[in-house]
Amino acid sequence: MRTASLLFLASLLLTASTIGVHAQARLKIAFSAVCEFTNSSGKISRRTINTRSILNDAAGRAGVSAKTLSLVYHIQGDPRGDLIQVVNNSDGSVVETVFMLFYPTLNGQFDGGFVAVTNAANTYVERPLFVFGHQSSHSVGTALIRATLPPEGARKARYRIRGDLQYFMLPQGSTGVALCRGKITGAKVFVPSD
Amino acid sequence: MTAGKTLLALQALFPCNRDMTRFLAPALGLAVLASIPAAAQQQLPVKVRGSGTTTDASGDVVRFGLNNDTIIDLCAPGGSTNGFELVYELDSDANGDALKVVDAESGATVCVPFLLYVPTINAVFDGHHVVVNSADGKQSKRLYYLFSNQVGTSVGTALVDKRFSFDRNGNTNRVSITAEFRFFRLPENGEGVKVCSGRLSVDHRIKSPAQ
Repeated sequence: MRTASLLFLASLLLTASTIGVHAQARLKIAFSAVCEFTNSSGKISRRTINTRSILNDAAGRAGVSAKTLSLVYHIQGDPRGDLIQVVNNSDGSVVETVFMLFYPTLNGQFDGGFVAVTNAANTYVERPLFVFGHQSSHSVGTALIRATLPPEGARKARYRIRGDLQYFMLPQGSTGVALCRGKITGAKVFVPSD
Repeated sequence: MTAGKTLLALQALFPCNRDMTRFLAPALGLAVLASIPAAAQQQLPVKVRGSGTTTDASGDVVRFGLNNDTIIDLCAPGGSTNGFELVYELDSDANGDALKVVDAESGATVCVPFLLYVPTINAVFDGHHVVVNSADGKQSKRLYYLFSNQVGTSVGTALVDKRFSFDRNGNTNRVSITAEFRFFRLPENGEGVKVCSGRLSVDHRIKSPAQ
């Protein structure tokens, strides 16, 4: 119980300090994933999802050109973790949230915001996150995120983010269950053009 | 084995983790209700390779290696020198597979560092249908959630690829499993949070009774 209290305090401190430095940071990212599913002949097939396909799909739903959109990694875009979003290039407004990457939940204790490996300067963090999509309220996989963050008070914000995702997609349309292995990389801060 | 006996057995396996057994109880009940026939529960030799990171006393992020011995140590410290070995148990229970530490001589289970369970999906009962199979039955892929001996909620996932070969009579004569996994460990033994990832592999030939 005492350990839990100490950890809780540590998690609050860590969360507070991290939010202070990196709140609302959005990085343009490249996304690529290979998804495997059973095709109509009963064989396991692959299809690729990438930044372009995500932006094209979102643009189609929103009725805009894909050229007006960007895919971003929104650090602490939610109190529960990070978000991968499609945003409008001109004003930065959110068009779609593609994935929610949330801290682990730990039974009967507190949230798992403290489940991260960081250096003392808090300029490097390695964090396991649970992936949530729009098909189920349960998680659909995990992401292992490694991020280099600018030191507190730095005049120039330098970020670098890499992530490996494992997730599944439930059947949709004529496609059955798919298992996906994805990667994200990003280093450029997203700045709306307006 | 009844659900009660199974639960008692699990409590023996997880002596310090009541949350785990509490979490598993409803699942066990469902498993018994489903009257699933005793699965093969084959224990297969497994090889684990990977790495992890943690923060050392000076606040630096340090990397360490991960292998069979380090996985055994998670629930049976020093176990690899006591004649224990790590096995991958197929269909360990109704929810999925397990990585178990067993006594190399007797095969008796010593402890269970990881359970690999099918996803839970709201209002769809469970995630057994979250699988990509080939129609010929030779390949099966799943995303399993990892449960450790530390906490009752999931600590990671493993993308598992199982391949089966059959003899001319249709009996399985070879099982190959590869998996990419990632998990975290909560602070323990004076060490901080650890984030780990790696691969495991199984390549097991099964002799048919006639051979």
